[in-house]
Amino acid sequence: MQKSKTDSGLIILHNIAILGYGCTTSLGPATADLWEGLVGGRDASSRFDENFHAYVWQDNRDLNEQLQRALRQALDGLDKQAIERIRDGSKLGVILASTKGAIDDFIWNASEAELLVDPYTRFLESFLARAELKPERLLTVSNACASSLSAVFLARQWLVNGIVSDVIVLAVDRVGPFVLKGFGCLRALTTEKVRPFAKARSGLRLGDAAAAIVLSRAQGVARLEGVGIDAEGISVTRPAAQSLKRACEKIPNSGCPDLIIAHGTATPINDPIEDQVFSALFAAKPAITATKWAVGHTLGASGAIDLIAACEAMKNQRAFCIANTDEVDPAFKGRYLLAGADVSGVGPINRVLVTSLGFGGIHAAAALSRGGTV
Amino acid sequence: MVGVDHFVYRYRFPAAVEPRWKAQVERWYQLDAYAYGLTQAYDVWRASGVVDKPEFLFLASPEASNRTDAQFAGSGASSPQKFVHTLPNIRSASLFQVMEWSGPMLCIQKDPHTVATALVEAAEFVGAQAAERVWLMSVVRGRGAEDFEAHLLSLSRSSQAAFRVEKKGHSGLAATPADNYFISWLSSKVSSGNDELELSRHLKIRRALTKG
Repeated sequence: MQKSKTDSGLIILHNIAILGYGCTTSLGPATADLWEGLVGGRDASSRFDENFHAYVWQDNRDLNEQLQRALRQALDGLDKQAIERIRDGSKLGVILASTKGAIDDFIWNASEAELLVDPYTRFLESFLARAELKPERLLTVSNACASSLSAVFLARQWLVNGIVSDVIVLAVDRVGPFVLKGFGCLRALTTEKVRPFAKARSGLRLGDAAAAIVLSRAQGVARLEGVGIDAEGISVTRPAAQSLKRACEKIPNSGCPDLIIAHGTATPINDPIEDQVFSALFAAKPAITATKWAVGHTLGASGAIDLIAACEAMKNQRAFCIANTDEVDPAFKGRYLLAGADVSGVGPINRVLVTSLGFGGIHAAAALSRGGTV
Repeated sequence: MVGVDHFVYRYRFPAAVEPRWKAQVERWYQLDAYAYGLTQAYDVWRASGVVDKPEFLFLASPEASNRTDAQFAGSGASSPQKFVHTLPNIRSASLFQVMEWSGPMLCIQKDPHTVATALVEAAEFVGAQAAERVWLMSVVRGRGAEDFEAHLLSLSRSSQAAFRVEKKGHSGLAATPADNYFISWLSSKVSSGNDELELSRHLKIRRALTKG
């Protein structure tokens, strides 16, 4: 429950909830595919060209189509009142979270006119036209791989301040030659399995994803307890433990979660930072898991995918393992759900922490709790 | 009412001399024009004693990182030094090193209204008391291929600021200014007779010397 103080000293309670969500990933075109793949230990990132280091949508490369699919899932199941509010648009906000958007569509032979406009706004406007949404407020947040949680942070601000009644956070990134070559330059990719927090971890794979999350000041399927973001400048590509810790500490009532879904890229640098922070913050050692072993690193959409996984974990009252990680790095102190772990001991799952780390020293954390009455 | 002070630093890139802060930023010579400009601008403003550090920072990046992206793509897409700058938020990393600052930051895009859009967000943060002082920073290209401008809008509740963001008397449709026009308007030191601009359906900005 978020609190804010008025000039007169009154405390106002805010209940910011997730009303609905949907996604498409390499595990399949629906949220159910994501969840069943995670609990079933299915590594969809393995299906790739050996020279490609990444999984891409096999059937349809169109970003607009994939995101439309995610949005339809998110809106499905909303009550009639919510749908009417969203379709009306007058109190609707839309935030796009993405790192490179549709960059490959124009950057290789870009005209001067194409360089004058960011790669997000044109895509967002065409998406909204096709979805027949006319939001009162819209923009893009591009905070590297912490874009999704950063967008949720801003969405929360809009809702708390009464600027809009509902916000749809759209998150999408597509693996194309630009990001593939870029990550290849950084030597961050692996042709092996993605093994977050493993002793034998060797890097990441990339993956396409699209997600839509509807937030509102209402009762919903999950409650957004808070989002913290923190940026620092120690290094462009190396995360910083203190910054991630500050992001986590900015979440109100930041008690120990029942489950952590970590950023978990399986790079030599990312994973130790998260382990250090979780160990410092939570003496009770909550269970820690991750999703990138299954769907790859979905860049700006990764935080949204992890939030959806968190919602599914609370809905189903079940955690999932890091199915590719048999042996954790012995230097790590966290309690990781390794391959084959008995997850029945994890629960009840009432509170989940999600973390995201991005290039440029940006760190974000979000805490969700089970939906219900205020 | 939110007070806004505006600072601008014009520079040419590539830089002709090494910056004062070169020891603080590893491989400073690999920064792109935008990262260099934000950092150098801050150093100049700091030396002049004109800026107080913020609690929150917005980065408004017209054209996103398109120019740097095109350089990466055009050079064979093999340079890690170029690739790490192909995200619009990256340009803040060197700035934060020299500022010795950390905190919440949002990189906002909505071309061709990116700067005005970010200003609305920043003003609402201050107005809602989510932060006492918020910065909005932006780098835009100048007239020549090597000319750039770094802009800082420092927002607070000060009544002494050069500009004020206020609620409009009506909530009609807004003619949100495009970045080129808006920056030019901010930068002009004399009143052109147009001392007030709409920012959004609910907000406007005006020069503080004029009556509301």
